[in-house]
This record gives sequence, C-alpha cells and structure tokens, in this order.
Amino acid sequence: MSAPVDTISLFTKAALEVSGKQLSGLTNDTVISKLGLDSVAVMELVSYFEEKLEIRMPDEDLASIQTLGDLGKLVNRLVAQKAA
Amino acid sequence: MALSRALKDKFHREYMTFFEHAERSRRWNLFTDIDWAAVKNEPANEKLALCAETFMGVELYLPDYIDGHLSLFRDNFARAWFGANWGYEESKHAMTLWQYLVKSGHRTEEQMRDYSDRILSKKWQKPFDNGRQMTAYGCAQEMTTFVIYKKQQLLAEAEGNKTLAEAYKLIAKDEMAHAQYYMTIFQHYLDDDREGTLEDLSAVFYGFTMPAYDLVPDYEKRVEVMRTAGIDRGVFLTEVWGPVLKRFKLTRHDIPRPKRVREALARPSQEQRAE
Repeated sequence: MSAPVDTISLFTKAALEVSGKQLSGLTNDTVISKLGLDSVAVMELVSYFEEKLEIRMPDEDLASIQTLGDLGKLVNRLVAQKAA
Repeated sequence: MALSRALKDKFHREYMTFFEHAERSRRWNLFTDIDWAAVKNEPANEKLALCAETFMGVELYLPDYIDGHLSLFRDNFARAWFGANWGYEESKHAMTLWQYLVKSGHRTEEQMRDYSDRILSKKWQKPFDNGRQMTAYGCAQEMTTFVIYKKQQLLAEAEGNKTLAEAYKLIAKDEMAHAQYYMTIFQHYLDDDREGTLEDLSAVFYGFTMPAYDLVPDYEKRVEVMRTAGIDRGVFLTEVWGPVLKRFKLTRHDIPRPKRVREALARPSQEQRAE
C-alpha cells in the first residue's frame, strides 16, 4: 500500500511553481475557490497533480471538489487504485 | 498561418451549409417573434434583469469581436463571411436583451444608452493570436454562451418570465449553431494537423476566460449574481468543455499539458535548487 499523498504540501508547491503564488495556512477545510486562483490556474494545478502523480482525475469528480480535503480524498483514492 | 487550398475548400463548403441552414430554418425576427406585449404582465425580477444586462453588456463588445475575427480571417471568404453573419446574429442578441430590459420596465432607454456608452468606452482584445486557437476559443465561448442562455431560459420560465424565456430560447439556438460551426471547422484543423491543433487546443483549454466580463461595469457585483445562476467551474468542465471534447472524440487527458505545467515540471524544484 502506498503512503498517502500530502495534498496540501503538493498543492502549495504546485501553486508556487506553476502560478508563482505563495500560499500559506492551508488546511483540509480550505475552499479552493477562495484562494484567489482563477479557474485557469486551478486547472493548471490539477494538470500538475496528474503529471506528478501519474493519475487521471475524471472531470465529473473534479466538478464536485470544493475543498483541499475533497481534492486529497480524490487524489489518494486514485493513487491507491493505481498501486493496487 | 497560411491555409491550404484543401482546407479553404472545406471551410467554404461548411460555411455554405451553415448559411443555408440559417436562412432556411433558423432566422427569427426580434420584433415579431417575441410577444413583447406580454412582458408588462410578468413579475419584476431584478436578479434576472441584472443577468440580462450583464450578458447584453458582453454582447455589446461586438465591434471588437468582429474586428478581432476579421484581423485573422479577412483574406478567407468562408471565415470572413461567417464573421459577418455571426456579427449580425450577435447584434440581434444584444438588441433583444436591450428591448427586454426597457419593455419590462427594469431599465429606461436612457439608462441603456448610458450603459452602452460605458461599455463601448473600453476595448476588448482578442485572447489568442492565431486562427486555429481562436477557432478553439470560438467552440468553448459559443458553447458557454449556449449553456448560460439555456440556464437563464429555464430560470426565467420558473420565475414566470415567459417573454424573457422565449428570448433566451431563440438566442440559445443561435449560440448552439455557432458552436456547432466552430466545432466542425476545428475538426477539419484536427484532421489536417492533429499534433499542432492539439497544442493549440491546450493553449485555449488552459487559458480560457469568457470574453469581456471583466470589462463590464460593476463586474464584481454581477459575477456574484451569475454564480447563483449556476455558472461555475464544474459546469464549465462538464457542460461546456465536456461536449466540445466529446465532439472531437477527445478527453481532457488527450490534450497536451499546459505550457506552464510542463515548464514547472522540467525545471528543478525550489528544494532541489536549495540542495
């Protein structure tokens, strides 16, 4: 079984490296739409996650993601599926 | 980007098909096909009116949209003539919403003229510089307006605003026809040069924003209202890009990663640089 992905760290890193945006104080309850990232930037970060973790997030699942906790659950489910 | 003769011929045929269909079965008359007399008996609804005013404002940047289109396609009969026809139809959309706002009593004619002056005092710049990217942009932009107007139609129906619903229904039909045309043209680009066209699609998919919303006066107030009208990232992914990509037998995962992501992944991370 693979170790859980620290989504918050990876999100922070992705935001910095892709969008040049320094984020701090993120928690699982952080609402992504309140981070000051536009929808284009969010899709770029999704793409970064997919490439880095070699997963594919279905658009239907992405559509319902509100918080970083939601993102973490989806990412870890897909990573576990890949490892199985 | 120079177009091959074969591609020009395909575009020509597609435009003739589009135009014939429009002339034979899609044209509508702003003055006679909407029962404007009924609007006075319908309930006032400032939220619907603000949305209508916002969408009309976006449509009012028409001179810039046409200018942007013709700057890319002036030398191609089919694409230029499409631009002219598209401009006529979009001009009617703005006028229809204008008529609604005045005839329903939500705005005065003077307020509308002031609003249009404020809109036209700013200029929209086209977001992409090549014809293929702007065609991909057209696919998503027209599909987005279709989804928006369809949702507004349903909302207006539910609120007892039948006249506005009828207006949105007519407008949405045009927007879908425009989206279908752009998708047909884009399919020809894909067949002609799949790799290059997918790169252009990536640039648009990961760089898309709706035209001119940020230019419309009081944008922040309007965007809040529009969120409540059901337009968000989820809708955008599943109801706009979903059908567009499906038409090309693609998923988001067939599109090359965005340039900024590829660049970020290719260079050493901050931690690696610190070591």
